[in-house]
Amino acid sequence: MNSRIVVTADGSKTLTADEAGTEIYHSRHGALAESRYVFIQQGLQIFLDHAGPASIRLLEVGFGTGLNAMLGMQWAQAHQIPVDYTGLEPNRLSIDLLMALDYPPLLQVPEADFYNLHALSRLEVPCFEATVVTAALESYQGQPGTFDLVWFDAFSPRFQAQIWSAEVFQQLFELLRPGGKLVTYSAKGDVQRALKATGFSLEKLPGPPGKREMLRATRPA
Amino acid sequence: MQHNPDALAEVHTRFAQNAFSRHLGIELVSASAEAILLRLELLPQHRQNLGFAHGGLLATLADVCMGFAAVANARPDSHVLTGDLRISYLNPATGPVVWAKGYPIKVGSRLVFTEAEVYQEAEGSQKLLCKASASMVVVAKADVRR
Ligand SMILES: C[S@@+](CC[C@H](N)C(=O)[O-])C[C@H]1O[C@@H](n2cnc3c(N)ncnc32)[C@H](O)[C@@H]1O
Repeated sequence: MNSRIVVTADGSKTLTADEAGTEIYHSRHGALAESRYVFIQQGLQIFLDHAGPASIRLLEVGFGTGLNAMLGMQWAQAHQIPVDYTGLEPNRLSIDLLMALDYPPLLQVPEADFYNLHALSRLEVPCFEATVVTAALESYQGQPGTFDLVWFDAFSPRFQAQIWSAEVFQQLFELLRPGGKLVTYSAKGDVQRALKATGFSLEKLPGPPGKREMLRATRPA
Repeated sequence: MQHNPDALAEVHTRFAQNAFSRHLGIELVSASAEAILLRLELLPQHRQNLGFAHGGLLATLADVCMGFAAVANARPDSHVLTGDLRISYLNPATGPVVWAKGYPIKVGSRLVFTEAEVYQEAEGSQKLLCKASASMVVVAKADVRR
């Protein structure tokens, strides 16, 4: 599949994921706006509001373009809270697509941080240690009970139904520590049911631009 | 690893002045003390009889990458010369684009041990084309005999 660049409503770029271009890596209503809202504001930011752990262990399902990861790095550095990031990604992007996305100047992050994380699968900068694992979540063997936060950013339930299943959510439930959280952009009924069936408690939150709702799930303490 | 902004500025300046890399069409994607990333679009003149990228071209790409990885970690008043270069070719390079990462393994004041890998994209994964290592010799600018 040859991904193409799409310019979203806020001017930030993203990629197509299918030939028709109906499935894309981020929201058409604003790639950057969606990521900032769902994963930072409703995700990392809650660790500031409620006195959270001194450092945050973060797992992202779908590292993709690295947009979320770079926003996480910026957040960690701005708040001086160490974040230990693991990103899972079975489908690594080509250097040409990464260059065409133009993220470092848009986000104002050092070019080398962005490219090194992609090319070396590892980045160690102040307050942010990151590893990208070239694997699907289903085959990832992480330390159970250790993650504070999961960014669940797989392709949509319409496009990739099997990953939004109770079985996969069970795996994430076990990777999270008690009290740990999962945020995702979808609030579909099937997704809510699968998360509840796994034992998560759910919060429906107002969605990012163009979406009514999003979800935050908590592994009960 | 030590971040030396002067050394990174040197990488950019010297890369822009490197006539051979420019002639081949090698582009600098990013530079840091941890790694140098380069990109090259394969043109007809880069290919051998079977249509694959010429092995010498890929060796050059790896060499340039490792040389600049050493520059990024060397004192600004020094030059870097290749002391030895070893390369294993694992897969033929068909393109259309190849890219390389070069990084230091051990940084000393006279020698920087480096490694590089050259890749091309193949259906959502990165195909490893070659793996190289080099010892880069750090020479004080004043001692370079032309
Ligand atoms: C909606 S995109 C989001 C990408 C990313 N978060 C970003 O900021 O660019 C979904 C990503 O999940 C990846 N993915 C697909 N199946 C996966 C799986 N089974 N495990 C982990 N990641 C997967 C895709 O390759 C894609 O990069």
